[in-house]
Formats: sequence, C-alpha cells, structure tokens
Amino acid sequence: MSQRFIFWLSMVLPGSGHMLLRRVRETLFGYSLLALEILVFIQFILPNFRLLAVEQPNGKITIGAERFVDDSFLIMVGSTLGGLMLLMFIAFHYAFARDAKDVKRQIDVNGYAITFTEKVRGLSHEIVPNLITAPKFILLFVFAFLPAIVSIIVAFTNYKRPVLPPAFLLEWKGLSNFERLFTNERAAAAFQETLVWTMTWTFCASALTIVLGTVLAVVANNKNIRGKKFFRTVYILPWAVPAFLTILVFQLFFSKVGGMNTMVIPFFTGNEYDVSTAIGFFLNADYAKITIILIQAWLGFPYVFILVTGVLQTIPDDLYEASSIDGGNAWSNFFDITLPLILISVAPVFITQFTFNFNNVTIVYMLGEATVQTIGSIYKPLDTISSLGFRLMMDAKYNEAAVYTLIASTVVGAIVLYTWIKAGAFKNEEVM
Amino acid sequence: METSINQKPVPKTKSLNRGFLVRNMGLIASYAFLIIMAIVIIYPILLTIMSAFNVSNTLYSTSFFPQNFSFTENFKSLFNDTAYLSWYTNTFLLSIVTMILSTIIVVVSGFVYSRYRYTSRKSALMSLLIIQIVPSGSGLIALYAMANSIGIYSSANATFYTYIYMTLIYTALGTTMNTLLMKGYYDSIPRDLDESAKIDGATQLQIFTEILLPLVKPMIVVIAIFCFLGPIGDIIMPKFLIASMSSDSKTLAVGLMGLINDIKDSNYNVFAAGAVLAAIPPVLVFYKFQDYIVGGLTSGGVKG
Repeated sequence: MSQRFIFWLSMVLPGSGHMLLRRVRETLFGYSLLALEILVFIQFILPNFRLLAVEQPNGKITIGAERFVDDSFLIMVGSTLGGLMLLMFIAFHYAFARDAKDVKRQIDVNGYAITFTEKVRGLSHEIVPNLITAPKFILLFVFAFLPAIVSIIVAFTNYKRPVLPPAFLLEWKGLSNFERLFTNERAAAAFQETLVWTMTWTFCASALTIVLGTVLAVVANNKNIRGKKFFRTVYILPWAVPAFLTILVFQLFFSKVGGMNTMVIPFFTGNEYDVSTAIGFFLNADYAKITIILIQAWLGFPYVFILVTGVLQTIPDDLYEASSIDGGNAWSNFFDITLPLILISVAPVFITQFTFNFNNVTIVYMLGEATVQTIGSIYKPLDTISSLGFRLMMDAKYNEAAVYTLIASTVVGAIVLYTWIKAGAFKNEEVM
Repeated sequence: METSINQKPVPKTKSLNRGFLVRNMGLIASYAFLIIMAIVIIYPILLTIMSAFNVSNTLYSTSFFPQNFSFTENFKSLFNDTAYLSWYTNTFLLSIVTMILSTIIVVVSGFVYSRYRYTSRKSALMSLLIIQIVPSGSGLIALYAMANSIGIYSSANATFYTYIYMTLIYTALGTTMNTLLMKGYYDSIPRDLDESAKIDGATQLQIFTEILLPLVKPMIVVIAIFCFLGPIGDIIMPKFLIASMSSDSKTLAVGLMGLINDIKDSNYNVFAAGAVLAAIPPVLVFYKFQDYIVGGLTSGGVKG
C-alpha cells in the first residue's frame, strides 16, 4: 500500500485512504462529505445540467425544456454555480488526498502520526482570519464574479427582447453573435468604424488629459508664480464636482441654445446670437467627437495635475543648484531634470488613463444621448465598444451587448494584467 | 543665469516699460495660460450657478448674469414639479449606507491581511487583485437578470429591494481596491507596536481597536470618501436597474439626466438649480478632506 495508492484512493473517495490507515474521525468526516456531495449533485447540479441543453422537436437547442416551467436564466446561473461547486469538490478531495498521503508518510517515517485533535488545534489560527474575511468574499462572489461569468455565457445565446425568460426559452447560438460582427457586411463596416473611433477616443482623450495636467502643474509650480493656492483650488474643481453633473452641464452648454452659442461665440466674433445659425456641436458627428475629447480632458486633468504637482515637490532643489553651477539654464533644467522625473511617474498613469477612457461608458453614453443617429447607420457617432455594450443593454439586446462587453473587458483585462506582470505585482512580497 | 523664468519677481510698483515686458515674457505667458485655464474651468460652473437663479420663459439666455433674478423660484419649481427631494434622499441614503458597509469590511479585512499569517492569505490577496481587473459594468446584464429572476421587480416593495440590491453591489465593488490600499497602510505601521502590546497582555482585538485603528484613521477617511462619492457619481447602474421604475425611485443622476433629455418637461434653469444643490455635498466633502484624498491617492499610486 504505497503513498500514491492512498493519495489516489482518497482523491476518488475522500476518507477511504484514512480508513485504510485506521483513522476513524477523518474517515467519518470524509464519508459524510462524500454523502453531502452526492446529495448536492443529485438535488441541484444534475437537474440544472440536464436542462442546460435540451433539443427541441424543431431541432433548436434550448436552455430548459418547457416555457413558463423552466426559467432559462436561472438554469444558466444554476449551472454556473454547479460547475463551480464541482471544482470546489475536487479541491476538497485533493485536500483529503494530500492529508492521507501525509499521514501515511509520517507513519512510514516515524511509526506514528499526529492525531486529529492536534491537527485541528494547529489549524485554528487558519480558520479565524478566513471567517472574518468570508463575508467580503461572499459579496464579491455573488455580485462581481458570478455576474461576470454569467454575462459571458449570455453572449452565446439569443437573450434579447422579446425572448425574455420565463415566457420564452433561451436558445444556444454558438458563436453566431460574434460572427455577425465580421460576416454581415453592414455590421462589419459599422464595427470597424466603431473600433477606429474607440481607439482614437481612447488615445486622444488620455493624451490630452495627461499633457494638459502635466503642463499646468509645471507652469503653476514655477516658483515665481504667485497665487499657487488659488490656481490649485480652481484646478481641482472638475474633480470635486461629480462628473455626471458636469457632463450634463456641458451637454447644455454646447447645444444650439447653450452658452457656447449664445455667449462665447458672439463674444469672439461680435455677431448677434441667432438660433438658425447656431452650431449644434453634438448634431455634427465630427464636432461631437472633438467636443467630447475636450470635455474629457477638462474632467480628467485635475488627477494628473495633482499627481505631477506631488512629483515636482519631491524634486530636491539641490539638483537645480548643481545644474546652475554646471551652466544649465531654465530650458536645460526642464528638459534634463524636471521632464524625465515627471515622465517616470506619469508613465503608469498613461495605462490607467488608457483603460479608464477605453472603459468610460458614463461620458460617452450621456453625451451620446444628445447626438443624432444618421439614417441607415446602426450606431450613433460617439459610440465606443464599451458604451455600445451599455446602450444595447438599455435596448434589451442583451446578447449583442454581452459580445461588446466581453470584447471590452478582455482588452482592458489583458492590458492591466500585462502591466502588472511587467511591474512584478504578483511576485512582489511587499504588495502581497 | 540670464533666464526669464529664474528672474526674481519684479516689484509691482514698477511701471510697465518695454524692458519689463521683454524680460518677463515667460512669466507673463505663464500667468496668461494659468488664468485662461482658470476661466475655462470656472466659466461653465459659474454659468450654471447663474442660470439657477434666472427665471426666464425663453429657451436661451444671452447674458451671463440673470436677467430675471429670483432667489427661490427655480428651487421651488424643482421641489414642486419634480420628485427632486426623493431623488436626493435616495441617492444620499444609498451612498451613505454603502460607505458605512464597505468601510467596515475594508478596515477589518485590511487588518486581517496585514496582521495575520495564514495559508490562504496570499491567494485571497491575489484573487482581490484579479477580481479588480474585471470592469464593473461587465456583469450588469446578469445582475439585472438575477434581480428579475429572484422577483425583485415584481415584489410590492420593488424600489426598496432594488436599492438594497444596488447597495450590496456597490459595497462589493468598493471592497477590492480599497482593501489593498488599506492593507498597505496597515503594513506601514511597524509590527513591533503589536508585539510590545501583546507582551503587555493585550488581546488581538484590543490591539486592533486601541492601537491600530487610531493610527490608520487618515486612510479610513480616504476610503470612506471614495465609497461615499462612488455611488453618487454613478449613472450606469441606476440607469439600467431602475430604468422602468416610477419617477420617485430615481437617483439624482438619472433624474437630472431626464430633466435635460425629456423634451416635454425640460427646463434648463430648473436643471441648473438641481445641479447646484446636488453638487454641494460632494464638493464640500472633497474640499474639506482634500489633503487626505491627495495623500491616499499618491500612496495608492506608489503601491501600484
């Protein structure tokens, strides 16, 4: 009876490895766990899995067998839960197998093994912290992890109005929701256009935000400038006011009857305001795109401004003194000392800005409400990949929305993961 | 060095002659830039405040200052003609409850991750880091359908249950990054402090409540503010989850958005009044705790 045999026996039937080693309490524990698993499997997991894909007489594969009786969506959630439970069972079995193998090894080496009571006592300091943090993980599981997984599954079904469970059964659509974006001529063209605009928007908005914030911080921190406190108070105003309010204010401001047309343009051109010649900034696609980038820069720069201001204050004066001894002037000071130090600290901000703007549904969706959809096009001019995910959701086209959300989340997740791995966030003992 | 920027400030009494202008070109350009930017920021905000006090029958106004000044008119119609008061209470109740719940969770679990050493600690931290990558909007479809399937929308107290549901979602989302921030802050407090207290006979609970909590107060403030401001500014989740509900059950963001976009009852001056009132609490909180926020942010930035 080798350790490997004990391990695999316990892996299949938890407790049996311990039984062979004559450990009564672990055996009972393992077998009752097994009984519980079988009960859950029969009562919960199997019924859900069985209804997950039912072939109807007309050849369609649906989730659930009968309308009004089976709620396709609940079956989807239940199956996801069931799948996760199976994974959890495997983890339990593995823990038992590891323990049985360990007991066997101790007996082989020492002739005896520590008793169950000692083992539990040793584990008690493991249990307390896990119990304290358990509520948080339950919340995160139910409200963040599970919905994210189920939303991915929705992308492979026909879940859209009017196909709403329980009145209708959802159908599996395979990859056809994704295929449509590339094969359907109109959809493919619109998708490409949206992709280009998403990239343009993400890059321009992030770049403008960072440049504006950095330049303002450098200028405002010049030691000859008076009233630093005043400028700083003003410059973080856009951050203090909730973004949705400012977005709405700007939506009005740039409308045909808004302040831009009634006051600002007449002030510079000297012409009287006239509704008929006023510019609807959101009615023209190109104007709308430029305007939204400018508004995002307005909203976003205070964060960069504060960050760079902090960096500037940490640069020791000695550096500039040393430079002036070596004959440096203001320009060389800026390009050789200030700028490199700022760039080092701003580089990670570019990534966060990039992912933030790529994922920025709020401003795109809200200002998108003010734009006009041109006849014949599928999307509005300001729609990005992420905002489309949200707008289609509002139109109850859940499966199409899920496709866009999945694409957006994958892109963002990949970028964040890549930068973290590069920065060593997972290896760094300090962070962990 | 003969440079424009490093020049000492010239006394203001000196008359503006050509030499002065040339020598201070850089400084003057800097001031011009700073002042123009300040105007760009203040102008739309001031304009909104002004129109909150302007009563007009026309759709637009061409002057900056109110033509028809009234201190209360717009606010009166805001409270009488719209459900503004219930939007206001909805929003702030939602964000305050969220703030309390997530702050408690974050403060306690940050302590556990910083001070306890146990086997699953590393995987717990790792999973927080990974859950955080998933954009918060990605689960919205499932969250809505889940609420629908468990019967939240068809129950008698639909609004109340929806708000509880949203509170739990915000709480869950608010605990990932903030827990890591909090844990980092606990880590910055030397463990020797705990050790010496332990020698004096303090229990783990006493160490937490009497020694560490007072020390991490600045970070608690930061996290409470983050959790407070989050739900106020969010429009995505309420727009989707309470879309089909009555006007009374909206949040500020959804309600004010409707005030602008619904053609038949849009009144820009009334909207401006609502926006001003809505902005006051967050702006006050922000400026009051400005130093905390900036400090918390930069320490978070360093930790990555």
